[in-house]
Amino acid sequence: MMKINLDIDGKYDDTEVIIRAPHLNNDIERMVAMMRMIDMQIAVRKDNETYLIETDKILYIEAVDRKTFVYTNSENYESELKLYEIEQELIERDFLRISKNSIVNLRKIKSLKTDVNRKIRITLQNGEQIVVSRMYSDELRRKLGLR
Amino acid sequence: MDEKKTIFDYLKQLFTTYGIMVVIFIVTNLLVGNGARVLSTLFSLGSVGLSTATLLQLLFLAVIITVAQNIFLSDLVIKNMALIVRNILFFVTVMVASTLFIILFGWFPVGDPRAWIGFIVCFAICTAVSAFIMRLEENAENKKMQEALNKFKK
Repeated sequence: MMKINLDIDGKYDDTEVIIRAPHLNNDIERMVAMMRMIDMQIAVRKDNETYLIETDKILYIEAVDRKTFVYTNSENYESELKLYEIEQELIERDFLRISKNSIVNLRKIKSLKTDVNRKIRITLQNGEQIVVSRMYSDELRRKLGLR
Repeated sequence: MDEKKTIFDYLKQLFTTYGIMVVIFIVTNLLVGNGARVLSTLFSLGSVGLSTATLLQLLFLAVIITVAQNIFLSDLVIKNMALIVRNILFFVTVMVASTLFIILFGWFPVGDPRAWIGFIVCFAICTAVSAFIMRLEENAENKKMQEALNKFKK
């Protein structure tokens, strides 16, 4: 059972979160990752090392086989968080779900083109292309003020 | 991934195409049915109506068009292809299928070059006009989306 202690006092200058645990586990890593996102950062892993990347460096995030991958201009990382957890935090920061398994940073889109079946083909700043499924195309249009 | 299409979605697509074809042929039959009776098996009953054979041939053609639509104009089979190439492949398939039907079912006298020229000209005009309209719509939509994106990013 996890204990949660809140110590709210005007004597503190800043917000500090201390986690005390017998060992580091997945739950703690996910908790830290979610807190990082409040600071516009996301904790990701690559080659057994953990990195903190700014959310505005992310092009898109994709879930594949129960794993979450974070793509930047030139690198791709893995995140401990589930796609929906990241989405909840980033949705107000110009990220939008574009299919069941991916969310995109709208500010990193270079161009948009219509595709078959009312889908939209996105070209990202690094030239990579991803497709917005028909289900989410209308939401993208709405977000851009086209509906 | 998008929601999966059910058999009823395909049937709806098939019978929409079939319905449009039948209406076009009924109107054509009312206009030229009696005159075309001796020239085309499609209008064998004259302006009285369309025969069961004609309706079945049109149904078979509608099946081919629906299959071609799902192959070329959706990402069910081909994931990455430019829209213009998809449209060309779709129209070529429909044209080949129509030509086979003309020959197999004697839709018009196959030895008459004027009939073939008429068919090819009509098909080319319809294809060119629909491709042009699709292209214009696509360009306008792309431009609108790009402008909205640029505005959003400011």
